Amino acid sequence: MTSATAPRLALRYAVAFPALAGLLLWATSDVALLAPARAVWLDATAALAAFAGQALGLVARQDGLVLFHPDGGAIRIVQGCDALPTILVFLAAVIVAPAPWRPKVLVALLGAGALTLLNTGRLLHLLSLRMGDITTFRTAHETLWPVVLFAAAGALYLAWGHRMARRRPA
Amino acid sequence: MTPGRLTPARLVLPLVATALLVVLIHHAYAYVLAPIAQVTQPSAAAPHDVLADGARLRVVPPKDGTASSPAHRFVPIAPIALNLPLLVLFWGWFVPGRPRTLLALAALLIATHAVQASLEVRQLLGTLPADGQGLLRFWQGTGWILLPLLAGTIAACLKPRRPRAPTTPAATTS
Repeated sequence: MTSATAPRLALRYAVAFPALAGLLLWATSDVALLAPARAVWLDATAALAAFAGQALGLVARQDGLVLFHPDGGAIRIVQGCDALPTILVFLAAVIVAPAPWRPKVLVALLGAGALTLLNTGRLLHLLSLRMGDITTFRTAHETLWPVVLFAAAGALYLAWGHRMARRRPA
Repeated sequence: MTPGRLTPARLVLPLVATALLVVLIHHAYAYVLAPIAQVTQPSAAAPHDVLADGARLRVVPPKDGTASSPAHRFVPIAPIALNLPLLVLFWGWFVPGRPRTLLALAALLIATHAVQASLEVRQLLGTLPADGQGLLRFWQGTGWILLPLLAGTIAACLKPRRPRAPTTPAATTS
C-alpha cells in the first residue's frame, strides 16, 4: 500500500464497513422477504445445539425451537439467540477489508463457523443454567454472552488483520 | 484496519476495561436510567414509578387502583447499554489513542441509552406512538451497534494526530 493510496483505502473502509454492516443488520431484522431465510437459520441453530447437547448429555429432546434439559428445564430459541448480528458484523468487516479475496473467503467461513460454534456453547450453557437461580441465568443471557460473542468476533478480526498486515510487503 | 503493534497490553487492557464497565452496568446503571425514564413519561399517562432493580428497570403501577396487570413490569438494562463496553473494547483494539473522542462518543451513547430506556418504558406502558415504535425497533435491531461501529471505524481510519509542539518558550541565546 503506497502512501498515496492509504487514505483512499481508509476512507473506503470507513464508509463501506458501517454501510454494509448496517445494511445486513437492517435487512435481516426488518425485511419481511428475508424472514424465511432467518427462520431456516434459527432452525439450523436449534438443530446444531440439540445435536451437540445430546452428544454431551445436556439436551434430552428437541421440540422445534425448544430444547429440553434432562432435568426438566427448557429454553426457546428466538430471533437474537442465533448470533446472526455478530456474524454479520464480522462478515461485513472481512468483506470490505483491503485483502485478497481468497483469504477473505477462508476467514469469513472459518470465523462464521467459529462464532456459530461459540453460540452453540452459549445456548447449552444457558440451558444448563435454566434450572438454577434465575438471576444467574439472566446475567449470563443478557449481559455476559452478548459481550463475549462480540468480543470473540473482534478478536478474530484483530488476529486476522495483523496476520495479513505481517504478510503484506513493506 | 489494525494500526500499531499487537502487544499483550493492547489486547488485555481493553478487555479489563470492558469487564469493569459490564460489571458497572449490571449493578449500577439502572440507578442512572430509572430517574430519567421516570421524568420523561408523558404527563397525560398515569404516573408509574420507574425504579432501579439490579440490572433492570422495574415499572410500578400507580397506587390509585387504575393499574393493569401484571403489577410490576421490567425493562432489562443490558440490551440497552452493552454498546458502551463494546465501544471501549473495539476502540482499545482498533483505534490508536484519541481518548477525548472516545469520551465524547461515550457521552453520546449514554444519551442514547437514556432515550432508549425512556422509549422502552413508554412502550411497556402502551403510550409510545407508532413512529416511536418504528424508531425503537430500528434502534434495537440495527442502530445500537451500528452507531459505535460507525464512529469507531471513522476514528480508526483517520490519520493519527501529530504530537503537539512544545508550549515552553524557546531558549534564547545570548
